[in-house]
Amino acid sequence: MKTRFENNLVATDRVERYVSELSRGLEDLGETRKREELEEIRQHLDARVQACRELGLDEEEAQEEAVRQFGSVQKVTGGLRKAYWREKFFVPDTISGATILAVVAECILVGVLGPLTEIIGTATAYYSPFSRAMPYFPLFPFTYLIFFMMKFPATFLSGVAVGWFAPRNGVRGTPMGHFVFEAYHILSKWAIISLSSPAVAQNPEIYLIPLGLTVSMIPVSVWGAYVGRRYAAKTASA
Amino acid sequence: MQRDLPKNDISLLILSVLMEGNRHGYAIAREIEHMSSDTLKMREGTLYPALRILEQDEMIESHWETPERGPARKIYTLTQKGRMEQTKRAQEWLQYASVIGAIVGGKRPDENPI
Repeated sequence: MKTRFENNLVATDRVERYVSELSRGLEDLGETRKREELEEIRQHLDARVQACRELGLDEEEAQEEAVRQFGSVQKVTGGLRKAYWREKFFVPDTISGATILAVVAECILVGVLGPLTEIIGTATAYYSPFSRAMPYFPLFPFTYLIFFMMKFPATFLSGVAVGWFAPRNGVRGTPMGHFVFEAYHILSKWAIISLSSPAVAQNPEIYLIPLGLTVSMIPVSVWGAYVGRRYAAKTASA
Repeated sequence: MQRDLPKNDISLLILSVLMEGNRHGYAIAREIEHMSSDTLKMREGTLYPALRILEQDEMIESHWETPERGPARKIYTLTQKGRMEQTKRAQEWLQYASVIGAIVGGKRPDENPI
């Protein structure tokens, strides 16, 4: 028969082994979050062991029962990791969530405003005296003015949407989302022009001007996010 | 009779337990077992992912509390949003249970009891 001391050693080993396995499965949560999760789980297990002891189980059995009742390491870590990544990427009120939301908002708004500005752009390029004012861009007469006309409301409205749905992180997430969207936009433009007109693709101005416009839109997106956040706060307090 | 608790029902049970007052994780698990007269059994590890998701959805809030004796414990509190959600989901669940109960019991749900 094991002594109380030996029993304690076995039991401690069992719980510690279980917590260590959980710890290995929660590596991607980051140190602070992982420590907090494990601390809460350890307290839960301690309380359960204590309850089992009171029911008459010896230390080893109590710890075994507590671990069994808690569930398999794979299920527990799987559930916690899934919840963590959901928070990280899919809950709007995180920086990454706000960024994703901003990208989606930009896509929707540009998708809606894009065709409209194409029509305006084509009409203006043909019928306005401004069509002669931009000799640098023979392939896209008037493109950048149209781009700006489209970007201003789109950026502001996407900022409002993100600030509304992610009031704590919209102000940081909106410019990031804006950059992701624009990076895709500029890269796809480079790819298309490289294939169709390699000589034109080497002209840095066709990328620098949209990049400059993108940077100039940051205050607009942040302003939109502030407006959205204010409305979110008003709605919450109403 | 003992039944395993379906995964999707855990969040409603957590909200219902927290309607009675603030609790830490272990107390929530015990309360669910106690309120169901030990009929509902769950793997207690499934409680924590459900708590995290409820926190993300702003149904509950948590904070660490240090008691006079023993280590600090994470206490969960129901928010106003969680309270409203519990009421709504409880009504839906009761309606669902009454329909199933009526079918299983051989009566239409709108039939008056004798």
